[in-house]
Amino acid sequence: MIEAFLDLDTSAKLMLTSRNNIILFDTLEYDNQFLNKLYKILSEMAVDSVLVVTHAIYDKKPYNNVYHTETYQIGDSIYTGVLSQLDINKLMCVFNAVKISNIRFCDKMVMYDYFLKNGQCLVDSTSNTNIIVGKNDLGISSVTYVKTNSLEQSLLQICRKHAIYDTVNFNTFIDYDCVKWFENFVKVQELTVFVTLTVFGFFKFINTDSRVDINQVKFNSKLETVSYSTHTENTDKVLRGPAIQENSAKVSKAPIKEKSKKAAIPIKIKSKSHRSIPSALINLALILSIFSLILTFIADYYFTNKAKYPESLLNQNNSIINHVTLRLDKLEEAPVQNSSVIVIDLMSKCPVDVNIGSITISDNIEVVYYVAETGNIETVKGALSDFYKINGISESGIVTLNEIIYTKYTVSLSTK
Amino acid sequence: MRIKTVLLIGVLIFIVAYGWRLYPEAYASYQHNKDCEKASADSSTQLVELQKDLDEALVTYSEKYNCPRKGAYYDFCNQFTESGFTISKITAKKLTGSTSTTIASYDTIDDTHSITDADLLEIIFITEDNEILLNYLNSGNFAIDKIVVYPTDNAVIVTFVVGGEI
Repeated sequence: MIEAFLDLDTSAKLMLTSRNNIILFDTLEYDNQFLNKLYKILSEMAVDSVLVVTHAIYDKKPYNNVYHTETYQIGDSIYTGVLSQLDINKLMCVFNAVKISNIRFCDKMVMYDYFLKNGQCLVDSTSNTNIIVGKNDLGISSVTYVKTNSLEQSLLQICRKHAIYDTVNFNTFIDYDCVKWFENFVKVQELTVFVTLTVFGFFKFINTDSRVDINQVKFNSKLETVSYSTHTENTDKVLRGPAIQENSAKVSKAPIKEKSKKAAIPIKIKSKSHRSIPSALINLALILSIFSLILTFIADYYFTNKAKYPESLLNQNNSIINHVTLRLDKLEEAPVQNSSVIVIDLMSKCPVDVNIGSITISDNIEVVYYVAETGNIETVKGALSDFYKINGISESGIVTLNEIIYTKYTVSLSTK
Repeated sequence: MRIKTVLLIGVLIFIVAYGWRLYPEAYASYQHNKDCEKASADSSTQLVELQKDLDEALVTYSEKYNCPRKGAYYDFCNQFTESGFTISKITAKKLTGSTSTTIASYDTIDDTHSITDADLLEIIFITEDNEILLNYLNSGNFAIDKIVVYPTDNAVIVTFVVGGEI
């Protein structure tokens, strides 16, 4: 898989990578052979994907025959990034001719917006123009294009106007969260240079001995002839200028950041490989103790819930035994017989002013009598006592039948 | 590092405290379960014996008395309707518990799955003369568990003991 990164800056910078290795870096001028050169390189190297970094012009005015990249509200105005439709179409023709399936475009302003934090101001330089981008809580607050000779003054004005105290030099800025490291050290004259590439194809070069700030490294197509140039003096001067310090502006210098970050990398690796033994032991003990804790919870759950199964089985067996025993007892009992005789007899012995509500015959006899106000339960007792043994009489409320009030008595009997 | 150490000590203290509480409970639970398992095995043996006795008793009872039997509930109820008695309601009951099942019509009584393990069958008769029904019940050698007669309402509730399966 060969990936191409094309930065459409003042001159087009093309880099090809394969399996985290830079295999080609070239700077192409926008002359009448530009598209031919691009086609030749891309087709010869059989490029699979390409990421184009565009530098759109942001303006409030509408234009015809342009592609829009991104829209930002700056103050009360809406700025839209525009790219020449003709130029992009030509590029697309080249990519289509090479049959590149994966083509992505990314505008530089999107990268600024992505990397820039709130309250920061960014300076990025091309050959003769500098762009200053400020950002506040609402997003990008200002975009200013200035020439190099007026950069310092413009930067100060913007910082004062937008209360920005932190400035980032994007020429040497590397966001280490987004850096993709390419494992090829190259020898640039007497220096060893480590080449890095951000995820957007924004490539940087780091000097491994931390003594020289490298702005650009030039390769040939075979990575043989190399030269380098140090940091742009103008930008460096601005970032170290006393004027900003007078206004209490906090200046973060990207080269310093690079050095500190670069130095941190081997230290980080070292600390990982020499992790202290007590720390490892504590980690192990912590894992074991958490594992024990989980086991304890499981055991508790088992003893409080699952282990009750034998008890529930015993209860279930006892319940069935109880039922079967009752059933056997019932089968051993003699069924109710001569019920008609008993009913007729009880009906015949019922005194006047007394009604029978119900007669229940099972093991014993229970008769519900309704005794009117004119009657007396004693007469019932008298009528029954010669033939039945009265086990008990209980009064169980009042009932009204045909507008006559009766007192309800339940009499429990057994035959003599 | 310091946080991890504090966390480790906290977890260890919790485990010890939790285990201190859990151990006696776990041992008591283990002993209790062991007793339950033994008692359960004994009761299972007893249950098998009792079930055998019950099956035999049901066969004898069914031969001796006219009782409703599993698979022949319809025939049992039909003998009353053929003799001119009106069945108002049929309810299947168990000896233990208060569960009872009301059967909508005796025509489909044998298909009612829920009464296959009924112990008692309660039938409410509506009669013009209670005495005729009572005489019929006396003469039929029925396995009656209980009779409730309502003289003023001409209604009789008869509870029959359910016999063995056909």
